[in-house]
Amino acid sequence: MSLDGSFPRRDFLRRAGIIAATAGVGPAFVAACSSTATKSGPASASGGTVKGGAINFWSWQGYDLLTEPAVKSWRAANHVSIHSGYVGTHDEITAKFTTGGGKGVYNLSTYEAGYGPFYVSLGIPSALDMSKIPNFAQVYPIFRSGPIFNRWWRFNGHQWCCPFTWGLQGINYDATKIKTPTSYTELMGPTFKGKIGVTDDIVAAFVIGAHALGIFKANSLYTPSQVSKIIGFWTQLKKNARLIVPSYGNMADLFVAGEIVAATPGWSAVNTFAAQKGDNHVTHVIPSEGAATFCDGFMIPSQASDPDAAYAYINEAFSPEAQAQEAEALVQAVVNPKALPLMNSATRALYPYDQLDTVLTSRAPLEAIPVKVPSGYASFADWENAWTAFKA
Amino acid sequence: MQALQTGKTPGLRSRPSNGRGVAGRLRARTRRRLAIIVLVGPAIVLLLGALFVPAVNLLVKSVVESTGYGQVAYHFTFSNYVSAVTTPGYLTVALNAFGIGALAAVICTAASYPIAYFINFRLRRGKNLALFLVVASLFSSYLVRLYAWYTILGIHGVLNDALVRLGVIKQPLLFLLFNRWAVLIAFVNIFLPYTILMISSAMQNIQKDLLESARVLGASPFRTFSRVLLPLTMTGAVGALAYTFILSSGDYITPALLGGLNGEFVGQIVSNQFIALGDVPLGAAISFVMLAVFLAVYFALTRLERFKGI
Amino acid sequence: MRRKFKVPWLPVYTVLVFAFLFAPIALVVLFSFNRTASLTFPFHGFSLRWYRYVFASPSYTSAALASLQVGLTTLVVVAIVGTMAALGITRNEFPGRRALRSVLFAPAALPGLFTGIALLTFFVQLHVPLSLWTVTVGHVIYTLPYFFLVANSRLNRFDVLLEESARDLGASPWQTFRKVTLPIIAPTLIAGALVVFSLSWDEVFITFFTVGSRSTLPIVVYSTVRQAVDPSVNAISAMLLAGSLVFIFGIRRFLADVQQ
Repeated sequence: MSLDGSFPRRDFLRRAGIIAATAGVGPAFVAACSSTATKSGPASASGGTVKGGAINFWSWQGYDLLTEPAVKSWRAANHVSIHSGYVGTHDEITAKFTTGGGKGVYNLSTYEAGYGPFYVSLGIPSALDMSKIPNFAQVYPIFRSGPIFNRWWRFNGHQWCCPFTWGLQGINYDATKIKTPTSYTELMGPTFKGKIGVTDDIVAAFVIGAHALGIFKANSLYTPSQVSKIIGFWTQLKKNARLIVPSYGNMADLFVAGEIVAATPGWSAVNTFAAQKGDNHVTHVIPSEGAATFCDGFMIPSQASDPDAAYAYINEAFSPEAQAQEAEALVQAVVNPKALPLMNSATRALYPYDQLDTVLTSRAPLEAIPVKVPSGYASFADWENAWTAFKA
Repeated sequence: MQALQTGKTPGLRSRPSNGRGVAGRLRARTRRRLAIIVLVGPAIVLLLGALFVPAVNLLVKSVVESTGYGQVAYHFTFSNYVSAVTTPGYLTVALNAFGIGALAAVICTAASYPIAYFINFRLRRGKNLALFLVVASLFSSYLVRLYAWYTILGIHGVLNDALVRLGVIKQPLLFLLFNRWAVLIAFVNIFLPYTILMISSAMQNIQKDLLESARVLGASPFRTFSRVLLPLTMTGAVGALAYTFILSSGDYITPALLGGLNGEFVGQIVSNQFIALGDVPLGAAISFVMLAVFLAVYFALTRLERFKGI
Repeated sequence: MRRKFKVPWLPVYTVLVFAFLFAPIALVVLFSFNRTASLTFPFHGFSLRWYRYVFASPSYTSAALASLQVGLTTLVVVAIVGTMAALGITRNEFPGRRALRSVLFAPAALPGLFTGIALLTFFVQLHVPLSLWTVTVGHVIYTLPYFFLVANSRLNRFDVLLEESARDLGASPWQTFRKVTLPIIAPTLIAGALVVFSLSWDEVFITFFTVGSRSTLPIVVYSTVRQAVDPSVNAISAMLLAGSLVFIFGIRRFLADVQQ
């Protein structure tokens, strides 16, 4: 399969959030109702059981797994209720569990790999008792051992997070309007004047910029002059931009309305969003310079009430059936190889599972923010100021 | 005689109490004071507890040191205010916000006058319906209406479509959307109902005959406006200007969605300080600087109220 | 001699302005019936799916109820507190009266962002958990000046002689208020209350910072807009518009009857 994540024209499941069955209209949703991909077995086949409980979730919409059939029937069988609040940016997770009064209120959340050490320094996640999440042992080795694992998910003697999904951020483009872009510098050319969008995603932008310039650092420590170079890279792209795209959801609308022909940083899920709006031609590609990867994992916030329900829920989310359904619903990659045979071929083809290690270590490295910044290097506040000046 | 009930005593001016002499007047005054306290008290308590005290708390936070996400050390420092006014990029963003906000305020207020005049002084039976329609337009969600501008001003939007079909232009106009003008149009659309209502409310104080007398005495429409209508509705105009300026400059969602490459407003910087960086002191300092600008404009506008005509 | 000014463009201008005001609203309603999830042209045909989706969605219905709770509580508190304050200030001379009036108007000079972060920092300091009540506090502060402005201006125009006649006839102050003042100022107060409700219902800046685990409708719409917006938000907006039109219309009929 191709590394670029492109896929044939087809209809998609709506991204998690709808009760597709009750919508009952449109051919796009017949696929969802007939559920070709997933063989949902009995609820307790995959995971443990709890005697009831409540999940209070705070993170991205869809990660609460509201509609995946395996997880849904598990909830029903175990009398677990779920109540969710959704974020629009990753920082809202940080804010909620520090200054935002969310401590003790929520018992399930997530963090993106690169935020791990930062969150632990703020006391946000609780140390995980991995004996309560046996299904995690099934995931690809890169997610449960090795340098990446020890940098973002298990350190200081504890495991803080279980990575369960990841995705790629490169360039989204309209396949009917332009040929597949092969590099970011192509988008800086004169033919694209006033036709592209630059997404307001500071972390992805910095990682992509650094990677494209060949100065990427896994710990995200850059000197001020390197930050200037990264901003210079994006300023070049901005010259051709029609606008700064405020969000990925918005990006899909811009493609559908024909306002832009390409945008970066991108996200493969935007293709689904656009398809739901009737435009099947939005595609995602990783250009020659590479891209960035985000990898989200479950965490149980410290001082959570009812952690047992959270543990059981997380464990259920790692079962092969649940992971296969997550891949379809979220249009993102998953971490359990046993889920691959349970997916339909189109979903499986979306992500480069067979080249996982290469992709995560060199083609599209993991995004991270600078933490415990020694003097002479740019802090996250410096990043924000540079990005604000860039957008001004 | 009169049974003066303690507690609520509305409608009492400085009336002498009936035939009780000095003692009676003193009792009446005490009761009146009590009445005032009871009536105005709740509003004061509310403002003190839920606004004044939190604002002072935030002010304190703005002059201490930030030591990490969400953490402060209580050492006095002005560095936050220095950062607020000297960080490159902040000034550009601030000018962007205040400039567009000011324009929106002037346009909304000016545009409201003809309509408010028409509704109040020219319509008889249609008046209530017209005001009803204005109020009704307030009830559609502001965020959702923002998206409608894509459909109106976009490359394949209603305006461009019509212009191309009529042959006025060959290619769609790109400058209609994703720039400061789109943001301005959206602000005017959002705040116009409010300014119409405010100015209309101010016009209700004016006797119809007053304007007609001016006409009969030979004044031109412009002079009647500037010498009669404007001064008499000055409170409403000032309110409309201040309200629109403050709320549109402080908005950061509309500009992000419609502003294209000029979509960064001051509010976004403050929000970032709080959410992305957890730097409460700096966020507080920037918002107080913003507040100082708003209060300065507000007071400058209230001086306008004494204005007696052009 | 002509008594009115000749300004022939006024009616046309008024119509154009109304068209400008309602154009986005018309589009919002149109796209609420779109068959696909698109919010921009081309329009893909009519369907009620988004209305069905909204009613079936627990997060939307919960948020709508939350907004309703906050809006109604805000309305009641502000109406009572604001009317009382306006009565106290307009009917009495006392030192500091003008200053007090300015203080009551002043919160209108504050952008919602400021009120939101001040309240959030304060609540966190006091370890007050965030909830719909903390949101309501923010909304009350935000809307109080606008209601006070309306009540103040109405009471200033009110003919005090009416009250004084009632008093001379032996009515107590409370009776005077209830039977004479209140019925006359009621229409204005109700209009003010409606504006308060609409301000609260649409408020997103203060709410964003003070909301707990239970979201209000604008917050849910705002999150949706940033992730994968679809016409379900249009459906909500259209229903709200229809509901408030019916409500305002009903209120006016009721008031017209009462005033007979």
